[in-house]
Amino acid sequence: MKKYLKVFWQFAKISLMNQMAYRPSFFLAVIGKICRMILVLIFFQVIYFNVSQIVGWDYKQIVLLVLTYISIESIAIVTFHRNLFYHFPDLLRKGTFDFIITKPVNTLFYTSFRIIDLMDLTSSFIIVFFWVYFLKKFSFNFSFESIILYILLVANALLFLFTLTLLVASLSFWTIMGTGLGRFFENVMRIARYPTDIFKGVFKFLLIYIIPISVIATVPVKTLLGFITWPYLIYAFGFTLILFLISLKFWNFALRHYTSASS
Amino acid sequence: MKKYWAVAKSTLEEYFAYRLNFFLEVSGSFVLMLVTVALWYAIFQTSGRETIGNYNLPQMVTYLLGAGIIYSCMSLSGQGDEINDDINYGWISPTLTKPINIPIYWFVRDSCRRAVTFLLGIGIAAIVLLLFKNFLVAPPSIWLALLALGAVVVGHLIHYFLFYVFSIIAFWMDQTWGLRFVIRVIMEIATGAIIPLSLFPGIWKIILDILPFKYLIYVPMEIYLGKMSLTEIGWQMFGAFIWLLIFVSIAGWEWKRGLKHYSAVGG
Repeated sequence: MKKYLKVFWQFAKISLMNQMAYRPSFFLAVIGKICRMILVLIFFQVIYFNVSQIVGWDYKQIVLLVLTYISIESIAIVTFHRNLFYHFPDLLRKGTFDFIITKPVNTLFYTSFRIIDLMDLTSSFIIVFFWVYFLKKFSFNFSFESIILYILLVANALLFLFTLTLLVASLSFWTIMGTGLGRFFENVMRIARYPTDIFKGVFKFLLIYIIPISVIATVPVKTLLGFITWPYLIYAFGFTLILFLISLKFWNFALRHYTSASS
Repeated sequence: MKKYWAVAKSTLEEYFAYRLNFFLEVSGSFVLMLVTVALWYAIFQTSGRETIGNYNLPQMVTYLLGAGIIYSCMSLSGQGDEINDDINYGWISPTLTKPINIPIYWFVRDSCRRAVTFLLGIGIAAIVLLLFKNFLVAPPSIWLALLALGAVVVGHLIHYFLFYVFSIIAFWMDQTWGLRFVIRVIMEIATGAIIPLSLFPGIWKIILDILPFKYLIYVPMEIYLGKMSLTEIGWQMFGAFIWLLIFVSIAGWEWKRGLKHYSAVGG
């Protein structure tokens, strides 16, 4: 465990040096990322200028949803998201993946956390500011039980995202393809910044049970607000765990399929 | 002229080789569009209101679908990358010695990319429109529809030159994607892709009205829905051409200065 923390720290250091090499782009990227978070908040703010609630969610609750979503998205992007979606297929194409397999560290760990995105890490400080600002402004009353469950559900959401990312990334062993799939997937994930209650019928069923995007932000926030539905929470944790185990098996299976592209 | 046809032809072939990649990128933006429609549908339903801003539900759905389709051809993540790389890696050097005008060459290639994206998205777009056919609003007249179409073309030109201006800064800067990334982020809201700009309050509305982004999506869709008088359309188009002129002038100036500065890295 200690070894992995040390390796992780080294990844972060090297990434910072790399990304800071082009300082103007680094700072512009940070500005862009901060803008993007603020714009999601503005988008909802503008809607609430015109209406008082969206499918039962008032402005305060939506802000919680947005903050939860951008926090989770941020953690995913800083760590595994880009590594698995963009850097990993690149490694396969160039054949440099061989060097990673031979490293004395777990291959999946190395592939997932090799490049720590410090542009996103830097811009995510604004999220902390948002949390402090809005929690002070709205003075919520959360129960202790909901807070604990919320933290567990956020962890669950990250594991869920990691699992889905890993499943898609494993496909790269067979399909040497560009960034299209990653982009597509990113857009699907972005559904999570809206409450899944807006969907009806088949789509609702799909997004709650089959590809449960709702476990990313909607369910954690509802739980935090005190709407706890135990059967679904058990489903959410169970689903993620089972899918995670499947994705690990799939990754190992795909790894065995790997035939090096380098000489 | 003939040589640029040849460029177009080979570019189309090149991009069609990556059709799956393009297709997935377009599909992704369609997913986002459908979710935005679902969101607004839910907003209308739960608020119990007939109109929000000055839109009723069918108008809003039509607006969002139209906006989504226009946006899907614009939001491609690599906008301007090629121009940046051509300059930074010195790839324009061999082309400079040929009787080809490089800015035109880039423009042709970019137009092809838009065309490919549009063609690959057209199937999904048709299905989506069919799905929502009960909600779609026809334009008040065929002339307004044509005007809106013209406005879309002008919007694409503004979009191209906006990114072009920030791509050929590569003559002076090592990386320009940071700049373009910021523009792309702002574009998502400021073009009116996911929310009509008329819903913004006070000062926001004024700022968005001054910026050039509204010409990409909001203005064409307003024309289509018949929410602008002919005089207003005239003024909007005047504004659009002013912006276009500004971008084209800056681009021309940059190109001239840039070539003098160009050091042909990579030889």
